[in-house]
Amino acid sequence: MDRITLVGLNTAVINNTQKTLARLATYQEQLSTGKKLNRISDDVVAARQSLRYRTDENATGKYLDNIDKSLAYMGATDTALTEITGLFDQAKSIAVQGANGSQDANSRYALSQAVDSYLTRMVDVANTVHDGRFIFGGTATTADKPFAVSADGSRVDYAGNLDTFQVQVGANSTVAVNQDGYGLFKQDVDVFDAMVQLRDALRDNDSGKVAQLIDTVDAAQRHANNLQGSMGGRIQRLELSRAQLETGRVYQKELISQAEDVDFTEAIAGMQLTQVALEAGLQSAARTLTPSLLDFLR
Amino acid sequence: MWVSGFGIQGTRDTYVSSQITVMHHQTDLGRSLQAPKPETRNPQWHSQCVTSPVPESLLIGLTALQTHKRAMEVTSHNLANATTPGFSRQRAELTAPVPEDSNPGQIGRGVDVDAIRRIVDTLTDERLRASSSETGRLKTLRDNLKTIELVFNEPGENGLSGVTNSLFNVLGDLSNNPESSALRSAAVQELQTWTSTLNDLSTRLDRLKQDVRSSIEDQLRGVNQVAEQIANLNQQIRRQTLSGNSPNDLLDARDKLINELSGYLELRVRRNAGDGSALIDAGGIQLVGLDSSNPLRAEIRDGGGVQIMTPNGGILKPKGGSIAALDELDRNIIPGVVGSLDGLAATVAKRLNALHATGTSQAMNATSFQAAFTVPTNGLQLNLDDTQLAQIDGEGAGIPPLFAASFTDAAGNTVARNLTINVRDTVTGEARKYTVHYDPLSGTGSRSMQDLVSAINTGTGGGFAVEPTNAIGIPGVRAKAVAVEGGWQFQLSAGTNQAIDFSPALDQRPTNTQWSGPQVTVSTVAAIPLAVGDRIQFDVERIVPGGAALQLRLSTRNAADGSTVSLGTVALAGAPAIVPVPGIGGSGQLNVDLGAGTYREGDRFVVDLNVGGVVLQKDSAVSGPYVQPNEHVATDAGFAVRGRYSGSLSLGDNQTGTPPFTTWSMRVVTAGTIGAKTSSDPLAAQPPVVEFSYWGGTSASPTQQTVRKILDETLPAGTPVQIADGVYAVFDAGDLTLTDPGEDATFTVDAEPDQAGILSALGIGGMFTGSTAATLRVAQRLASDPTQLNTGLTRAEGDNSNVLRLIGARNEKLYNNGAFTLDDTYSSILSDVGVRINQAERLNDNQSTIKAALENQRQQVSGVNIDEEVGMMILQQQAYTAAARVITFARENIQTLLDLAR
Repeated sequence: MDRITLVGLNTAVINNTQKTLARLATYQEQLSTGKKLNRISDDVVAARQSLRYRTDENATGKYLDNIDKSLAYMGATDTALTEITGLFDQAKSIAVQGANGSQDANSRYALSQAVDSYLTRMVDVANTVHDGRFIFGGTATTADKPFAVSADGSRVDYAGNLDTFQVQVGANSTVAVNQDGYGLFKQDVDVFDAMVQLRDALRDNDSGKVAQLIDTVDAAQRHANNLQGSMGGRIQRLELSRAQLETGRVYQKELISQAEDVDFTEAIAGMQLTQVALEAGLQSAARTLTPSLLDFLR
Repeated sequence: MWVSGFGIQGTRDTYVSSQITVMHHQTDLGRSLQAPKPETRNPQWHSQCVTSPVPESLLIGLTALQTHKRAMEVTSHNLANATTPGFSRQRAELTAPVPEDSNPGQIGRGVDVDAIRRIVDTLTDERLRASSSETGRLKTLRDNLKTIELVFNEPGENGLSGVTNSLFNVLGDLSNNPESSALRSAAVQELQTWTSTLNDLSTRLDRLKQDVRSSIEDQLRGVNQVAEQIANLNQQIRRQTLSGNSPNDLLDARDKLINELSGYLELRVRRNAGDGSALIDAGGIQLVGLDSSNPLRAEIRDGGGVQIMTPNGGILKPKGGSIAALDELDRNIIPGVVGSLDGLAATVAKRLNALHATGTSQAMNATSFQAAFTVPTNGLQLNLDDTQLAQIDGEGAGIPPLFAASFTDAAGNTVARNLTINVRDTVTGEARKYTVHYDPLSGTGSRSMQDLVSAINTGTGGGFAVEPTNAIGIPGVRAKAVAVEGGWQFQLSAGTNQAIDFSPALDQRPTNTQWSGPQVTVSTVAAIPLAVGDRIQFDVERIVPGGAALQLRLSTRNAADGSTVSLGTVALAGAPAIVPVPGIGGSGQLNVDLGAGTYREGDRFVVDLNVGGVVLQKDSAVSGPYVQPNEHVATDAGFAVRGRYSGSLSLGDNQTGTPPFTTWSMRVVTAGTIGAKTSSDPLAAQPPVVEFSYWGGTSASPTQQTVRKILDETLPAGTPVQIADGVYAVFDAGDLTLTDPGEDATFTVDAEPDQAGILSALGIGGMFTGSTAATLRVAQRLASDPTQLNTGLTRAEGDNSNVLRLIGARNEKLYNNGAFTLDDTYSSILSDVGVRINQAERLNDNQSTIKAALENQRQQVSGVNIDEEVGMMILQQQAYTAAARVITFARENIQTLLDLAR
C-alpha cells in the first residue's frame, strides 16, 4: 500500500488542478478569440493550411479585382465598337442615298460632310480613353492619340504599338485585356479607309463609286461586328472565370475557417465538462486535505 | 515499502551514531522551509549504566525516559518539517543494549537510541534528479521556442505572410495601372514595409539569441553558487561523517541542492559511503569536489557560439538541464531559423533584383549604376563566377554565394553568355543596343570584373567582346572599378543625355540606315580594269581628330561571285579635296572628291559601275563626275525597331557556324516610296518591299525565318510593322532603295539581357541591396525615386510586363532546390518552430508526469505523514509516561528499603 503524505497529496491536487485550469484557459482563449488557431504550435498542420489558404484567398481576391477592372476595360472596348457599328449604319444609309441617281452634286457634298463627321467621330471613338488610358493604343496608353487623320485627310494613321496588355487572372494564367488599334481597325480590313473612300466619292459626286462602296462599308461594318463578337466572347470567358474564382473563393474561405475558427458547440461543451471536472477536483481536495488525526485527539 | 509500527524499511542511508538532534528554536522564515542545522551534543548517558548500588530498574527507567524523550524530539522534528521541501523523515532507532549476565538469565539494560535514521530511497532520488534535468531542459526549450513563435506573430495580418500578401496586392494594382505614379510609390512603400518586417524578424531573433546568452551566463552564476554551497556542505558532511556522526539534515540540504543543480545540468553524482561526500560531474567536467567547486563561465567564441569553460580551460558540453536547452537554442535552433530566413531573403532578393534590373519603364533614366556588392581586394582579376569572390561571414567584401554569376551550363562546361546594355538618348528617346558577349574561346577566356570594365571601355576584355564590334567599347558608357573599403565596386556611368538600362526593350535605330553625310564624288582619270556590275567600296577607317583628314580603305567586289578584294588604305588630307587614288587593279586611277560635311568612322561609300546610267567600260577612260556613291544600306528612309522579343527561342544560345541568334536583319527587296499605293502605272511611286530575317523555333532546333512586308498605304510611315514574336519596326517617311547583297541592316534582338547573372552578382540595378534578413533594404534608387521602379520590358507607359514577372516570382519554385515557393518556404520555417514546440511540449508533459510520480514516490518513502507521526508521538508519550512510572516504582522501592533501615 502506498504511503500517503500531506505534501504528496497537496502536490497531486495542485498538479491536477493546474492541468484542468490550463485546459480551461485554452477553451477560454478559443471562445474569446473565436479561433482555435491562435499560434502556429496550436496546430502546425492547420497553421500551414491556414497560411496557404489565406495566401490563395488573397490571390483569388486580387484576381477577381483584376477581372473586374479588365471587364470594365473590355466593356469600354465593347461600347466603342457598338458605337462604331452604329456609325456604319448611318454611313450605309447615306451611301444608299448618295448612290441614288436623283441626288445632285450639292446634296452629295452635304452627304460627304456628314460622312466626314462620322469619320471624325469614329476616330474619336478609336481614341477612347478609359481610366486615363487610350484603350486602342497597345501599351502606348497616355502619350499620343493612337489614331489621327493624316494632314491631307486621305488616311487615318495609327501611332500606337502592337503590344498587348496582360492581366493576371490566375496563378499561371493571364489574359490580354486590350486589342491594339492596328489589329482592330486597320489589319485585314481598313475600317477608316471605307469611310474615307465613301466621303471622297460623295464629294466627287461619283454615284457609281458610291454604289460600289456600299459593299465596302458593309464589309467594314461586318468586320467591326465580328470584332465586337470576339470581344464579347472574351468578356464571357472572363465572366466565367470570375464565377469560378468566386466559387473557389467561398471554398477557400471555408477552408480558412475550418483551419482557424473554433467550433463553438464543441468548445463550450468541452469547457463545461472541464469546469465540472475542476469543481469536482477542488471539492474532493477540500475534503481530503483537511482531516488529520489531530482533529480527533481530544 | 513501508512496514507499520516502528519497523523501518527502505534503503539505508547513513546511521549508527551516538548523536541526537535537537531543534534550534529560531525559525527561518526567509525562504522556503528548511530544517535548520542541527546542534550536536555529546551524550554521556549511554555509558552511565554501570553496576551501581542503585537498583537496576531505576537505571532502566532512566534510559527509557531519556530514549523516549529523544524519540519524541525526532518525531517533533519530523512534524515541524512536515512541509519542508527536500526534508526526509527521520526515525530514532531503538534497541535493547547488550544485557548483563546474571544468574539465572540476563538482566536487560533498558533501551537505547541506536541511530537516528534518515529514510530515503536513493534510487528514486537518482531518478528524480534525471527527471529534473530533463524537465529543466524541456521547459526552457519550450518557453524559448514559444518566444520565437511570438516573434513571427503568425497567423495574422501583421506577420510576414500578411505583409507579403499586401505587397503582392499592391504590385497587382500596379500591374493593372502601370502608368500611375501613385501606385509606384505605394509599391515601393510596401516593399519597404516588407524588408523592414524581415529586418525586424531578424533583429528580434538576434535579440532573443542575446537573451539566451545572458540566460546562460545567469544560470551559470546560479550553478556556481549552488555548486559552492554543495562543496561547503560536502566539507561539513565529511567532517561529521568521519567523526562518526550522521548529519541527516545536512544530507537533506545537499540532496535538495543537487536536485536544484540538476535542473541546470545533467549530473553524475558519485557518493562515497565512507566519508559521506558527493562528487558531481557534468558533461565530463567535475563541478564539485571533496571540498571545493569548479566555477564555470561562458565565453562567446568568434564563430558565434557560447563556450562553457572551467577556470583551467576545460570545456563543458551540457547534455541535460536548462543550460543544455539554452545551448541548443544558441547553437542550433535560433541560428537555424535565422539561416532559413536569410536564405529566403537572399533568394527573394536575387530573383527580384534580376527581374528588376532587366526591366525598364518610360520613366527609367538611370545615368549611373553603383554596385551593391564589393569584390574583394584580390578579386579584380578573378573570374566573376570564381568561388573566391564569395562573401565571408555575411559581412564586408564579397559576393554572397547565392548571387554568384554563372558561366557554365548544366554539365559544368563554360559556355557563351550575353549581357545587354542599352544606351538611350534621353532627348530623342532612341536607344542603341549593345551586347557584351562572353565567349570562352575568344581572348584569354577570362571573365573578371577588370575584363568587363575593359570590354565596355575598349570593346574587348578577356573573353568579353562588345557587339556590334566597336573599337571604343560601348559609346556613351564608361565602366570603372572603384576602390572602396575592402575591395572594388563596379560602376557604370553614361554620358550627357544618355541613360542606361539592361532590358530587352527594342527602341533602336539600326545604324547607317539613313544617310545624312556629305556627298562624295568619284571620277576616273584612267582606265579601270573592272567589269560592269562590279563595285568599288570606300570604308572610312579612321578620322584624324578634328576631322581634318581621314583614312579610307579601298576594296572591290566582284559582281559574279561577290568576292571582295581589299586594295589597301589611303589617307586623304583635308576636305574638300581631290586626291588621286592609285593602284586599282594595278593600273587605274580614281579621283575622290570629298564633299563638305561630317564623316564618321564606319561610313562606307560604294560606286556601282552600272549606276547613274553611266557604265564604266573596262579599259576605257572616262572623265568627269559620273556617279555619286550610295550609302551602303541604300535606304533614304530610316526605321526603328520597337517592342520586345517574346518568342521561345533562347536568343543567347548561339550555335557554331550560324550568325548570332540575337542578330536580326532587314533588306529592301523592292525599292519604293513608303506608304505609296501599288499602282500599275510604271511612272507612279510604288511601295517598297522589305524582308526581315530572324531566328525562330526553339533552341534545340533554331531556324532562320523571313517575313516579307509591302509598305503600301496600309503600312504608312509611323505604323508598326509586325516582324515576329513581339518585335516590330516603324519606318520613317521617305524612299527605300535596294539593299546590296550582304549589306542588310542588322539589329540586335535579345530576350535574356543578363544570361550569366552578372548584374545580380555585382548588385547593379536591383530592387534590393543586402542579402540577409537583417541587411535587406530597398535599393536607394527606388526608395528615393519610386518612378524608377521598372514596370515594363519596353518603354511604353502602359507596359506592365515586368510587374507581372515580379508577381510571378512569388509562385516560382526557387527555394529548397526548386521544391518550394516563397510561401512554402516561409510556412515551412514556421511549422518547423511549431513542430519543435509541440514536441517539447509533449515531452515536457510526459516528463512532468514522470517527475510528479517520482516526487510522489519520494514522498511516499521520505515524506512526513502527520497521522503517523502523531500516532508515534502518542506511543512515545505513553512509553515516556511508563518510564516515568518505572522510576517512581523504583524510587518507591528504594524508599521502602530506606524505610527498613530507619
